[in-house]
Amino acid sequence: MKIDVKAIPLALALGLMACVVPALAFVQYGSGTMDTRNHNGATDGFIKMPDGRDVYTFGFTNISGLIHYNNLSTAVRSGRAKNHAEFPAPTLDFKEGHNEYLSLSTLGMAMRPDLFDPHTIHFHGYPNATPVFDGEPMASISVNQGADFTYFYRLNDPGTYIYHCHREAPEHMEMGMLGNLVVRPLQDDNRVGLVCADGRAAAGAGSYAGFAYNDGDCSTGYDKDILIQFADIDPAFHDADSFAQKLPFADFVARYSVLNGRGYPDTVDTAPITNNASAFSGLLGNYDAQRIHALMTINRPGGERVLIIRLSNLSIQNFATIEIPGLPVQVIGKDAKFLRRPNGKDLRYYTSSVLIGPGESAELRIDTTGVAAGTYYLYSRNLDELHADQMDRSGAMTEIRIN
Amino acid sequence: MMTIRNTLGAVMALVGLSCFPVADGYAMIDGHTGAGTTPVFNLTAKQGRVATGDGNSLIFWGFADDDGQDSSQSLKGQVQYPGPTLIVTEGATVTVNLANTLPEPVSLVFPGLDVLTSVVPVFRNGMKGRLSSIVPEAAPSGKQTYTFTATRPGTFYYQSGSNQAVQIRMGLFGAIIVRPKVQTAKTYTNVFPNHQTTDKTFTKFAYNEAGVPDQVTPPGGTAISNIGASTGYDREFLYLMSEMDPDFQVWMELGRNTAKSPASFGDWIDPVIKRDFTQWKANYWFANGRNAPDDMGGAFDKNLPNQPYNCLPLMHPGEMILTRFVNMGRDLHPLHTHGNHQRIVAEDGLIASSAANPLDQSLTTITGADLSTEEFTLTMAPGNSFDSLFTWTGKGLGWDAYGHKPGDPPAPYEYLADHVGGPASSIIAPGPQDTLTSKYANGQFQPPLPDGTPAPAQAVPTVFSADPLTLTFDQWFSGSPYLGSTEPLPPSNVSLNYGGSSYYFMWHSHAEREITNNDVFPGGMLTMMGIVPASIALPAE
Repeated sequence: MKIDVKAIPLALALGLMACVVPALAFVQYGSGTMDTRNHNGATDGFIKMPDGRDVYTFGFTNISGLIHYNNLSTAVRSGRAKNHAEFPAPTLDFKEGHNEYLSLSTLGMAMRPDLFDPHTIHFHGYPNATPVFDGEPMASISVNQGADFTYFYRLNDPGTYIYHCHREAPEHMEMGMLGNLVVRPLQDDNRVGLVCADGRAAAGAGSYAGFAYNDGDCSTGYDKDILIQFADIDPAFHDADSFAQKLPFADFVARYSVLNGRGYPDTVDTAPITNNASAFSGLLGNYDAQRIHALMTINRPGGERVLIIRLSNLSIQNFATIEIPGLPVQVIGKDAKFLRRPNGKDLRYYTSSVLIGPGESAELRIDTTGVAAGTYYLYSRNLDELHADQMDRSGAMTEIRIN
Repeated sequence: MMTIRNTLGAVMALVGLSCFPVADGYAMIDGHTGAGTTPVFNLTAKQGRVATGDGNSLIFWGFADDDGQDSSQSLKGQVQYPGPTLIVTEGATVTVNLANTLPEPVSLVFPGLDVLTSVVPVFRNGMKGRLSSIVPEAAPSGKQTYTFTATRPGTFYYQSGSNQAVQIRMGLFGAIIVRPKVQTAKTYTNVFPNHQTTDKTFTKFAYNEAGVPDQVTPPGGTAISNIGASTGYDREFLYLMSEMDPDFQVWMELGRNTAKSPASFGDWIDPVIKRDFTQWKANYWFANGRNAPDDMGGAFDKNLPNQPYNCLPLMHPGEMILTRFVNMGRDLHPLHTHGNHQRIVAEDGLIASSAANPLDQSLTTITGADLSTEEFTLTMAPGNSFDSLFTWTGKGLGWDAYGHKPGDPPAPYEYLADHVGGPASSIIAPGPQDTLTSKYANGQFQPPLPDGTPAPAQAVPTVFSADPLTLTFDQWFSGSPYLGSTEPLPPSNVSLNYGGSSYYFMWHSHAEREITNNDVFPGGMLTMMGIVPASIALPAE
């Protein structure tokens, strides 16, 4: 028997929906106090480069809290999710001790409706992983178009991580399925008995806003922290993907280098950047695809003093030497590990530049005590990463404003 | 006590061995072990061909081992990419006799090793007085002898010291492993606190560590295992990274003799595609001389006669594996280890030690690698070597990754809090389940146990439906989320999973372009590291 959907009266349909929705609503995992949930959609979209060019992307979008219809795809029902890929992906901000249920729904592609690639989420750096929740498809599973899957992570190890889709990784990562991921330490919320070696209050007024690690002596404390992710883009590659052409891995040339999906001066624009997606398809409207800026401000009159930069690199080819002249930069962590050995040996070091390779992360701590007020710059010293295609004074650069 | 489980394990081991014949080169480093204190190696520089992962065939220059190697399948005099791995013991005085069949002079340098051969550069009149070699050379059809002392243990390499811009790109290099003198068994206690097995006894070490204490006390803390300073291991593997630009290799094969200045060795001026050295760009990336997926085949595969080495680490949970990384390429390579961090215990054959003089074995024997660092991505600069240790127990997942049912004993090295019934074993919530289909709303389902009773809630609701409409299964997946279990795979799904129930983690260059073969994904510097259940035997080292 075939049901003619159009023939069902609207009121009846709504009534049916009301009955059915609670049963079909996305499975509510983890209702405990230590449980957290996030929901990403995987889809496509456009991002705008500093020279005004719109680049076609694959990416993730945050659909947490949207009502979910299993296997009917969130896309269809929630207009704001499908074809609203963000770059970088929504930041995943976790806490040590929590149990994270991270759901992924694949929402389909506006520009490539033919492309039935599955997607995954790879929590890059998760210690003692299992294949099933690792998101590396060759050793496990990936999520087909229109399907849903929930990853589970017990969060034991604080630090700066990254996440990305690992399905056909060179393509999907170059296309933009990259994001920041941080696990904040228990010491943030439990400061009982903590004594700061630098004399600051451990808790309450005047204390650090948070810490990078469970250091026991506030040596990884910060007043402000920021996640900054380096990546780069070859627009010819993205065009080839958009038009279903052979993908040029061999001839790959990064023409745009970005921090949090933006080239300078967009990096210091705190507002979202609105793309021009409607120019490419009547199915699309313009939307804010780049929501995360890379501007750092330290308001010393307001009591802020220490900045921690959580740096990572998800280029598919290029290393970046991130240089910060004029400020005392202390590297306190690498790849989500505090640079202190079990025997107490201190491996932290001061520098003015950090070489960071694809798939690496590092925490940089900057104490602005005694530093002259002003605008300082963070940029890639690799000169071919300091332009936006043909436009100079751009690329992987941002500002640290200290007053 | 012989339990049913143990019997099953023995059967599984037999099945594993019979279904997956273990060739040389699984779970070990292939090479030529030089016995005694004065080993001699006889190498000949020759031309050969490499087969790439996408079916291309490129010429290369490499070294052949005229005496054959440890493996019975090794062929004497067969040129190979990379050159033979030379394995010697600390203190040995090593002689390498080089013969050269290539059309230009070849020589050998041994960075980081104490070379006894006098280092005298060679300039040749026939090349208008240009530098021919930075060390004494073997002329075409000529010979040369080199001697070095393996003063300290570590991972090193040899490479051509002649016309390096061409010859190292062409493949004239190989790894050298110097094993420490002292290999006395040593036990570290409480390495894995609150695990089913807590201690580790090593009989093999990357560096001397006889005096390294068992425990260490952090400032203001309580004593913990000093495993973080150890270089002991159960299995070892080599990752020798290299890369090729196919245009350069093709020019070397077809265009070089007709280039405008044939006398000036090393010029790369291609009149057809207008390329020179400044435009050299790698499009093939190799681990131990093979692209993925070939690197995961057996060693000494007859179909890859000039690429005898594979790159396929396998381990049991709780084993410590030593990976010796060598970057013989021109580019930096970021090596990402899925599954866990790796601990870097040495760089360029030098142990990461706080000793006042890290070259002094009497000091580093006591500190061990106490300055080692843990990384999830290791950046290797050209010419770098690293020694890294990796282990995996599944600790802290919040569920029993071994898939135990209530009453099952813990697996060796299992983290007890995660073991079924343990305080952290049921953190993951099963959530609501459709009673008719046994299916969870996200596409997962959990059928009742064979006797019809519902599966216990503490077992994760992640026995997967092989429904290809929902999820895509790939070749290294067992079909089950649990280590040691197998679930049905979709029809026509080819399994490359060792024993059918192992975990796999990709170890690969995270410069993702480098996991392609000249535009074809997957390929390049990509291998799948296997964690094999303890019940399935692995070949002895």
